[in-house]
Amino acid sequence: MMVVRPIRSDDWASLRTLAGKTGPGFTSLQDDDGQVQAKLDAGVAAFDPERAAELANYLFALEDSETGEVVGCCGIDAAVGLDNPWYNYRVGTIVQASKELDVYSKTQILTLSNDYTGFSELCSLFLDPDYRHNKNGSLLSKARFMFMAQFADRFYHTILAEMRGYSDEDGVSPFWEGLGRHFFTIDFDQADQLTMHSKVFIAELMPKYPIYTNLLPPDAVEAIAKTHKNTTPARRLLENEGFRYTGHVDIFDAGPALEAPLQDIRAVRESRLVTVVVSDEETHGQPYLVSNTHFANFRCGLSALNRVGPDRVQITHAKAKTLNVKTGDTLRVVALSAERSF
Amino acid sequence: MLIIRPIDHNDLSALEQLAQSAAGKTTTLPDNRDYLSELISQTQLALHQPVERAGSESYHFVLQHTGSDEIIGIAGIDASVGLKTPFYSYRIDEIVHASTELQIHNRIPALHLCQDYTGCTRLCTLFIKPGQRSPATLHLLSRARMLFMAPQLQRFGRRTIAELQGMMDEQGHSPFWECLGRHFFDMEFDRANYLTGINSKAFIADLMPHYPVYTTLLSEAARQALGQVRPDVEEVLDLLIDEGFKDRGYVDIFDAGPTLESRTDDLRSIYSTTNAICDISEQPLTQGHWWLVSNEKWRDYRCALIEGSAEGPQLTPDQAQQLGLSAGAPMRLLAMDSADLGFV
Repeated sequence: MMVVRPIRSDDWASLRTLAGKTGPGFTSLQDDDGQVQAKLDAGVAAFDPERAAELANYLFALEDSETGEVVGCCGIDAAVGLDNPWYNYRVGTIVQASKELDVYSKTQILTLSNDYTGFSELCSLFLDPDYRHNKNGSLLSKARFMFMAQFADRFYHTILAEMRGYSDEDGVSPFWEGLGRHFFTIDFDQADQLTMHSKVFIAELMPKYPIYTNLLPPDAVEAIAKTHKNTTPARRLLENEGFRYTGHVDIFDAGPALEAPLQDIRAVRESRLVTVVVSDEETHGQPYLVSNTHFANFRCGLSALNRVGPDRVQITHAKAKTLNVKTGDTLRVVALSAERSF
Repeated sequence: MLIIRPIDHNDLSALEQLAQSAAGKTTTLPDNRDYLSELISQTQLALHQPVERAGSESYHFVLQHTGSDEIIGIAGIDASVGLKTPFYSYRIDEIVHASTELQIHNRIPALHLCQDYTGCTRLCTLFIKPGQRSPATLHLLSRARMLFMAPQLQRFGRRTIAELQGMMDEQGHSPFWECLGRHFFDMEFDRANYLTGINSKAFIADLMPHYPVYTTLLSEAARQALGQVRPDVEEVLDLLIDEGFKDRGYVDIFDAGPTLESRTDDLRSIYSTTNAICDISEQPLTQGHWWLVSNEKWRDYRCALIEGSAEGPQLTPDQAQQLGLSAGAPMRLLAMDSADLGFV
């Protein structure tokens, strides 16, 4: 059974291996010992219940319970922008009109902002290419919603997810070429990687005045709020959960930032707390997203459920063991995806 | 003989003809009868009212052949711009973006919309009929204005500016306008210019982008055009630089032509003028020294280019009469360089 659980110190080797597979453009888990170690340490520390909630940088592992292998990871940053400023471009509209001359001009404008300061952010999602099947991706991504539903007061009222922006087959970001490059004089990849270490240089180098997009090359304008081809599935998954683009983009590649009020995320809103009965009965039917209600021992997986009462479900011993629950414990359950309605 | 004098209502049709031949190339000389009529009224009003401090007065002068009475040119002075309607410029400022961490130090120029020249005196509306233009007529017409201002500096601003038309390509388009203004005004450059000329300036505030524009985001052609003059006004640029005007990085918001500035009393044609007494002679001494001569009068201002000796000019009775001078009357002189006038 595939299970999502908090990262542990002894996951170092697996995490380091995963980091080697992420490739350029995956800035939060780079092929770098120091960065991976820092990420691991922060991930472990986050599950210390004494730690201040807004400082937590949760990291979860996707483990194959049969082999013990860690094949994926995902994270939540409880609050962004509290130590270093968090930048986005807010996409706005300026209308200037002259009745006298019967001229009406509508322009799109990009304004540097720190609007997402304090928001909780979904991040660091990576699944080993060999495991991209059987709903593993959905489990890995949505396990975080189960955790946030359970521990809502450790998170901000709105959750943020930044999507990677568009770049062409040669890896060129038209938005970067049209704007950022003029101010940074370094390649997009370099700039992107640097943001992991320090965002101070953004404040120092980025144009502070709003940008009229009608002064940018057309392909740069077209890239605004456009997602990278590889990220489109992730965007759809999140949009199906209620995340929306509301007008903020990444300052380097103009990738869209999606957001959703925590309580409105489908998996959060529709999840139910039930009592579990553990037995050897086989379970039937569609698999549900199920998680326990523990903090440091959080477990989340997929399981079919046998309804044995109004708020009681039965699962097998094997599943119960992996989920760290016994009869009488509480489980949080929800359909893996939004039900298809007619 | 060519004479400079203030414009009056009898000159209206001649003025209209001038505006037509200008064909929009001089912003403040639009082909609009009402506007031109008003321009004349403004001059007469300004000459007749007592003025203690520069306000929105404007003075226009014509260049006329005394023999044929043909009017071949016009030049003007706005006593103080920006008092009735805002006077916009783009100021080019460099913004430094630096990161010690990354060893990057960028100086990015940006255009800032501003009204820094509010209150300045402006030399404007300089136009000479094609075919009549020569270094001599240009200098006469242009500098006569300074000679007019010299005795009455309290009627003018402490600083004076002069705007020069910006770069045009062979098709007659302004690369700066095509890159910037057009996006916000949705009209041809000529029309925007015309509207500014007839003083319908409210639309600038309504339509102009207010945030600074990074020049790195402009097209190459537009960037090249910043502060560059249209080729046919290069001699005017030379004349103004010679006068003491300086380029401080301000350009026109439509075509990015440079706006030059100077302290008014630092202008050569103002501080180097001398006073003299009118000396009339049937056979005046002409030794290749040229003088700009004015009669020091206000409402009946007259100015002309007279050849004389190194000490000054003598006037023939006809010249004196055209200049409204009698023997012993005070006159103001400015020594001219024969090379500038194209007489060498």
